[in-house]
Amino acid sequence: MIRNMNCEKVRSLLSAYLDRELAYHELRQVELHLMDCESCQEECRSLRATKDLLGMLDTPELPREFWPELKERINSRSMPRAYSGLLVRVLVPAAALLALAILPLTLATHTGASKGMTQAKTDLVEPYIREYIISELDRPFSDETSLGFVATGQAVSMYSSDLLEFYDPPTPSKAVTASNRTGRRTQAEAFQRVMFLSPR
Amino acid sequence: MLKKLAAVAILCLFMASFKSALQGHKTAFASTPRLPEICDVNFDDSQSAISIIEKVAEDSGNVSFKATKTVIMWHPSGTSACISNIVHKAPNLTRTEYLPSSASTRGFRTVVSDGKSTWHYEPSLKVVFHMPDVSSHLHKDNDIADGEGFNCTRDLSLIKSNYQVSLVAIETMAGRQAYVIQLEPCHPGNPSRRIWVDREYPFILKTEKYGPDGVMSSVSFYNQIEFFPLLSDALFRLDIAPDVAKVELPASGDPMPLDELETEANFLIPVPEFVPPGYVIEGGLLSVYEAFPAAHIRLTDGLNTISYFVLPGIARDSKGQDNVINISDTSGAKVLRWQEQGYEFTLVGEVDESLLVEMARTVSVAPHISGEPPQQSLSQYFARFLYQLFWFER
Repeated sequence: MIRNMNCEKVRSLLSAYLDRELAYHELRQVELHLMDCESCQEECRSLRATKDLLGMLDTPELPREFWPELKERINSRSMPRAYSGLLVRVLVPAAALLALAILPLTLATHTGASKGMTQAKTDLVEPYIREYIISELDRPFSDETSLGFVATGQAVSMYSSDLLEFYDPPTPSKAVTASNRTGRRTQAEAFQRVMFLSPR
Repeated sequence: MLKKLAAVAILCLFMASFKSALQGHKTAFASTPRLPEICDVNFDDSQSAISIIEKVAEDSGNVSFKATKTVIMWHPSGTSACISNIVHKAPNLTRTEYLPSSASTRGFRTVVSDGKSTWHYEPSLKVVFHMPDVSSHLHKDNDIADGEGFNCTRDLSLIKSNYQVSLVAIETMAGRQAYVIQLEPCHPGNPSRRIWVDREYPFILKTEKYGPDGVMSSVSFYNQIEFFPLLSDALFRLDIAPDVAKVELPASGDPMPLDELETEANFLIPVPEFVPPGYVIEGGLLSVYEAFPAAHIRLTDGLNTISYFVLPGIARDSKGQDNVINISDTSGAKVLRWQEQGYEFTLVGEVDESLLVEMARTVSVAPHISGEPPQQSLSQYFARFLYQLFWFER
């Protein structure tokens, strides 16, 4: 279920949005907000322009003495030998004991972590659901109105997600082609990269 | 005298033309599909119920109508509902307008199908989706070999063997008398259905779907309906503003036999050894997903579908088959996904989760299919574990 995002929240996510760092659900919410909100669209364009400008800046060459000086400074701030001895004799065993103590706890939370991971992945189920729904339409007594409602909703979700393409600089994308039994080839558009093609 | 004769002649001509028009109307009306009258309704007789659903499967598309319909769907993440205006002109012109809810000021979502293609207009996005209708349900009346798409006879035969079909009541629905027919699965773990079929025409007025646990998952019913109204063809044209973008969606193809699919896909397709009781594999389709070729295999028990997707070459994650996941989406369908040896598998269906898990458990990928299975050392395991722990808890 998509929750409405306010402008403040969307703007805080715009940078991550442009860098493609958002989770799928957040991404969709941002896109849906951008469709309706002109001021955020403007903010997005402005941020994109800034990022592009920054990307065009030359990377300055570091002076030859930079790395040796940095290393020297780091070494000069290193701990005195007395502290180093303490670290080896006390802190390392203590840390090891602590690690052993929290291991069962972390193992217990491992399931939760996996759950988080799988949740992130399951955001990409729309194309599967859509294909499944289209298959269901072939069954007798299928309710075309409710199946159509779900299938069109999935198409809209996928299309909204693909609006991200509009904010990307044009890059030569790999064309997706699929041959079929009759030799006809289907050229996939950008939108169809998230869709299933079912060539006949 | 001449005037009287002329008047009589005109009257005769008028009556003759009226009679022929009336006869023409009767002829047209005589071709409309109707359900045979069941005089002596026997609620214990499954044969009556079967004859009704056979007629519905055969002829419901030939019933023209104009109606308002409500759909409500329940699923773990919430409830979806919509009201739609539908007009259908037999045999294949349909226009559906999904009305906006009071919470949204956006325009109607309109879907028009002419039997050759479907146009889905989304005013909120200023986009129209176009999808050619090459789906096999267009060939309902044709002879189709097994494994090559919709087969009404096969599906009805499966329904008769997998479901207990019974006529349970006669009720009023949308102001019309309707037979209430229950389809109860013979095999546990499958959804059941109750349909209300108009007593005069072979047409479903209401459908209730229940999950394998017996809880209602969706209901759709006509609030009001008018059969065989006068419908202009102009109703089925979609007038789109010039600034609306057009998006071509891929056509849905017909399933092909698995060996043909494997040849076409050019990769081996591991098939589950376990198929839920009553289900048959009706064939598969070749698709493309995120630039990867994908196989979509369909199983059916006549009434329900299980979709099984196989994507080779995806290495998003190398977690094992024991990490089967389960979610529900807006359709209420369960989705199971797992990966093994570079394959990504997905099962979608409305059956009990245990059946999908059992199917997933019996999918075996031979090591030679995708090379050596990835072996993780202990240090790799812990590195991965810590990565997952801290990265995904961010």
